[in-house]
Amino acid sequence: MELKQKGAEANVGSFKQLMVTMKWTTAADFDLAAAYEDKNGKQGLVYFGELGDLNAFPFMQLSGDEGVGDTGGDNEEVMRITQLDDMKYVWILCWDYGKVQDGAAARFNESDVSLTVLDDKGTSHDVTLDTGDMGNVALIATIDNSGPIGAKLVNSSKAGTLKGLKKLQDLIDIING
Amino acid sequence: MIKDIESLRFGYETDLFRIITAQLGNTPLLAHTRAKNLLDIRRTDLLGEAVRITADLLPEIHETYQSCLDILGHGFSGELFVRQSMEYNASVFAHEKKFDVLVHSALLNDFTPDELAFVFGHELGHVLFEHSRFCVFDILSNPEGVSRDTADILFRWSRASEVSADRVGLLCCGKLSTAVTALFKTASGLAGIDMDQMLRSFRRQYEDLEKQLREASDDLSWVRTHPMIPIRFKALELAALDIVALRQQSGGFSGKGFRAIDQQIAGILEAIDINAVCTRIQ
Repeated sequence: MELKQKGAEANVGSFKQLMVTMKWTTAADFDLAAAYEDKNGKQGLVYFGELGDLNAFPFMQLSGDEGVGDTGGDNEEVMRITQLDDMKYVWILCWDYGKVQDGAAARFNESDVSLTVLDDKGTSHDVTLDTGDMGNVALIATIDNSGPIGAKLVNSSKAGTLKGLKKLQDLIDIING
Repeated sequence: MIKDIESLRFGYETDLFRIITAQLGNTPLLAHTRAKNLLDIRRTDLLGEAVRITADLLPEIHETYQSCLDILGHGFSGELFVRQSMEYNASVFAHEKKFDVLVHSALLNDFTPDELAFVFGHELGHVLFEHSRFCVFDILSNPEGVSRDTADILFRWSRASEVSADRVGLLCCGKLSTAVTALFKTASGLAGIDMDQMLRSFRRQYEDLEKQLREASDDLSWVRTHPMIPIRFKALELAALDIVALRQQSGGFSGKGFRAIDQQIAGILEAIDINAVCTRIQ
């Protein structure tokens, strides 16, 4: 199923695991990251500086950076989530960390960033970043596991600007803004 | 046929194989003639004492088995037999690309076709990875004997080879939930348990088992050809997404990415193995 437009959502049901693959071909040094809030309200971030753990909380892990160098071609990064049960929300993010440090805008609107979200039953969903917003961090998709009937995958496309990442709340403010 | 199946072989299995070869000074594979002879003996026994499952006899089960064979490809040729037994068990012996799979009747009575695909796939995994060529009990029965250290490594290899086979089982059934149900039924004999409950049960029991193996003075837990079921669950849970991605063949599987996951799983199982050795020495 394809979620091409902002706001499009899919009820993805009672899956237990997800593999999120971010792909892009344009010359940009993007990184995949995921912010989360568990069902006890604990928030955290998995990114290239904190790769996470598949066998311990947060039960999600980012693969090595495979899109370094601001080069074009088939760039890809993968986030695996092996236990989603205790998560309330997982926000899938794309950023250009060099631009984040500078507070400068990234080239999201010139890019072809997309996500493929594969669940443990083999069902996959494609999510396309659909925003003209300027910024250096883009929220692409939200995994909303807060409801009683299973999780929803939502195309949340929006962008915001960070100047450095001093505290997680700065990122959460963009996500919830 | 699915490409890149070989990449599902557990790296820990390969590493242990190298250690065994170094310790024994050669690679103790079954001789061609002996392997063929063993296959012939087994086939005679199956034709004489078990029932061959054909499309006429049990169409749905035969179709499930064929679908697993199709996933493996490579021109493998082997038949499926059933024998009366209340125990949940199955076995295979292969020589080159010929083999026969035996399942116990309790599996056919109690497992769904998808769960049977996990079982069939597991046995076919042993065929694909040529585990029959390397017979642990044959080596252990060598009159000149092997050291306890080598015996320990041989059992570790055997357990690691089961992890490789489980991965092909998951590849054939296609869903982690199906593989988990099959393992849960095998361990408990229970059906109809909610998936969330099964997952929680396995996760907690894995944690307790890992602690038990670290702390208890159990001198026999290492003498096992199969990993304990919560360990099999954990090894599958961590590898499942990549195996499902490989099955989809849509480009989501990366050999490089999977090797990194495989190394993490190897680290977990090796730590358990080493803890067991340390416990014995203390």
